[in-house]
Amino acid sequence: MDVGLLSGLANALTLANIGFALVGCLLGTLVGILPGLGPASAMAILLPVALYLPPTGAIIIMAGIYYGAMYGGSTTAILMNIPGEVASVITAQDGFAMTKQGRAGEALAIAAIGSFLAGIAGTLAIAIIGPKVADLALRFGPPEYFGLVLFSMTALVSFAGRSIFAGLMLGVFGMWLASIGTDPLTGTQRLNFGTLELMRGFDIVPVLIGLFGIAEVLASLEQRIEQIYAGKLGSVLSMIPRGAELARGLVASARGAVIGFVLGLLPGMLPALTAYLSYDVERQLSRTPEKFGSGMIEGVAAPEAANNATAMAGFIPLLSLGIPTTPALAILLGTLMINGLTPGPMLFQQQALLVWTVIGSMLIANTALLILNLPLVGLWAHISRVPYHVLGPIVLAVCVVGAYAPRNTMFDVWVAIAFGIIGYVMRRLEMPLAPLVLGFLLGPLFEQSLRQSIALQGTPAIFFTRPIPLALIIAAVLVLGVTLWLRRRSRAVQGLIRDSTNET
Amino acid sequence: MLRAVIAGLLGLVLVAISATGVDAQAKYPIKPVELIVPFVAGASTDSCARVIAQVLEARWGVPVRVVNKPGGNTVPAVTEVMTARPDGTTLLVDNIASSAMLDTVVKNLPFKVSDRTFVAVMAYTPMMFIVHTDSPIKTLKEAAEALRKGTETFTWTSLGGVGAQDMVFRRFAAATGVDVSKTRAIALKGGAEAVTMTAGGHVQLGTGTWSAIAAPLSAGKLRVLAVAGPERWPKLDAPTTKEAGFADIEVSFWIGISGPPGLSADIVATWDAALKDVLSDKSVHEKMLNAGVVASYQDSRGMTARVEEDRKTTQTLFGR
Repeated sequence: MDVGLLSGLANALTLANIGFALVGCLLGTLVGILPGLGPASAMAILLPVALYLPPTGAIIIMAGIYYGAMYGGSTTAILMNIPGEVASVITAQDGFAMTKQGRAGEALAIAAIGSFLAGIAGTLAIAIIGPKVADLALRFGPPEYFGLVLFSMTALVSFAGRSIFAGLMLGVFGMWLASIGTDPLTGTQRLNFGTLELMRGFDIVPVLIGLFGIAEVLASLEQRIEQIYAGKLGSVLSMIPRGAELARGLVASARGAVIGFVLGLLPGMLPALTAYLSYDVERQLSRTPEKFGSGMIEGVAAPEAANNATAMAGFIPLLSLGIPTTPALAILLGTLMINGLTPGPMLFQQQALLVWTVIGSMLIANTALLILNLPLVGLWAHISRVPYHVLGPIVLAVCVVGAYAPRNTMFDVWVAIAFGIIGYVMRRLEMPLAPLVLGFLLGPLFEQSLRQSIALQGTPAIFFTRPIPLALIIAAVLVLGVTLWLRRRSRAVQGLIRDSTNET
Repeated sequence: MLRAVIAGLLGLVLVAISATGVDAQAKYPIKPVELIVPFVAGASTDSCARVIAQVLEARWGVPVRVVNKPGGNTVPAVTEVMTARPDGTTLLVDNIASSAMLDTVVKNLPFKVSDRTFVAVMAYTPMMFIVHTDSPIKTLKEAAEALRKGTETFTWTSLGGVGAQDMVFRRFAAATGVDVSKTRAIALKGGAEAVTMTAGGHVQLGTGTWSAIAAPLSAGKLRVLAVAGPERWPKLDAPTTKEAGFADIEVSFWIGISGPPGLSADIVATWDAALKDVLSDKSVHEKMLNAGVVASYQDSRGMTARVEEDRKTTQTLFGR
């Protein structure tokens, strides 16, 4: 059959399909902005609707929600230090710093532009390389994952803050938290203290809502913040970054997109993880790594591009092998199946028009999202000037609903409140949150891949006899060495600067 | 005059109230029904529940909602249904693993599985034995040979005990005369991961259901050795276990609906009647087949017997 991207694009441009794409984008943006309500819950809620719609429309809407949420998630992260999406946690670090400097517009704009570039590049990559790289998802067995997770863990050191030891302990604490509840592999109970609710373990959403959303509100109340940014915001046009800053942002977006896309082909590499890793890469490459966290545009551009690229990349193993790489894509898989569409190479042949229409609609949806998000930049940016006694209670209410939504249980609301207090205390003690979150995200992958690998061969030797794990382990050691060396050097340099200023 | 009007109105109101009261008793359901699914949205148990919910909502005119409460090895969600009021507004949609296998494999459950009111089985799907396309194993007999020869290094996909995957492999091992505890069970999170792991060539023998197998099979990554059911699977050129020389290995992954202890016979009868009707509808069959399961109705008594039988099998296989 002679159906390709162009005919798909043409079909995606029918009024109905544009409508579906727009609805998906709007819903996705909304879901992204609301903390807690993630794409997976929104897609699950919409699943019944998908039974009524024509298959193409259902899939276009679902896909739109998924990547629309990646756009929207950055908004609240940047404006209020409350990530609307797990994938935007790291964006808050520099994004919120920029807002406090009155540069919310620049941060929002580069997040939207970075997401757009990654979305378009990702779509083209799906169209051009498509099924050819899907095999990567299969080739990664437990030992390969273990190598990858170990490599990702080197980021813990650079997120550790002032004390490496304290940072690592926080990472371990995060992994420990993630291990509470039912062992995902054998169903054994761990650390539930005989309570029924702890059997479920801690879900990432309420934990993050507490650590970031509720803790942020508590901290703001204590500091008697009247509004996040008291100065004036310029016009929409003046908010878009330009010149050297725009260039730096675009380069970082491109790197973030590549990292996000490649890792996004692998199951389990959540957009949140690739966002963290790309942020870390930017900091390692930067000449001024110490400025990260105080409003670097790269720190916003890279993770936002990465999480979007990861979202796009996931469609390759999903459509060609039926492998969902994230929970949200698992629901999309369900939507495909209910409509009688079995993913696989046959799908590309038998349902070529449908597949290409969906891919074509990604181009439209990403363009729509950019159009949707850029003019809104000014509007959103004004949120930073809303009096906090109005904003705070709204945020708290949204947090509580968001904590409840993913698993429909009150327990998660209590978890969010408890972690709100923990997050607040950590802020007071100036402990970094990033290692805790990273540990929480990596912990389950680390444990599973380690246990499964050893079960496969009976000994840990499996990590050294296979090329991919071995290469990743060596890379991890190298990165760790370089990071530690850089830290020492920058501390030495800082010491020198301090000494020299003391002398004068 | 006014008094007469008021009296008349009062009378009407009373009649109306009593009428709805009678109605409420006579006609279940009048309140929204929640179908609790102890798994994530999108998996086959969830898809099946959603197909049924949609049809029943149209039929009854009350909302029938599917609520996913995943996590904790299904125990928290099942406990919630077990302690819910038996008024038919809270029901559970689960499968063989959480109803017939859980209490054998997991100790100290906060409830007794046999206390549940089993309502009806809605669908089933046979387990299948699969290998990677490049595997030297071409038939189930060859798999048995490999298992016997290399027992200590034989890798297979387990869901950590609670899963039809474990049941079907254990029956296979029993038929082969091999002690399961000597093999290398690779514990995995779920049925989809078990198939992916096999399609990547990381384990020697995998098991799974059609919904997970279909895509990698069409991509040429898998070979189906046998279907552990009484009949061949449509559109699939693979023998049944019986044809492959293993007569009594038939394990079906079934999905059923049940309620709290003491669910009234009337409510059960209403569901049984509705499901019997709905499950003979062709369009429902098709939707179920899309979700990878075969619509198959079995009434309350049939489901209770089925759970008992599968529990006995589990107890024998797991040696408890």
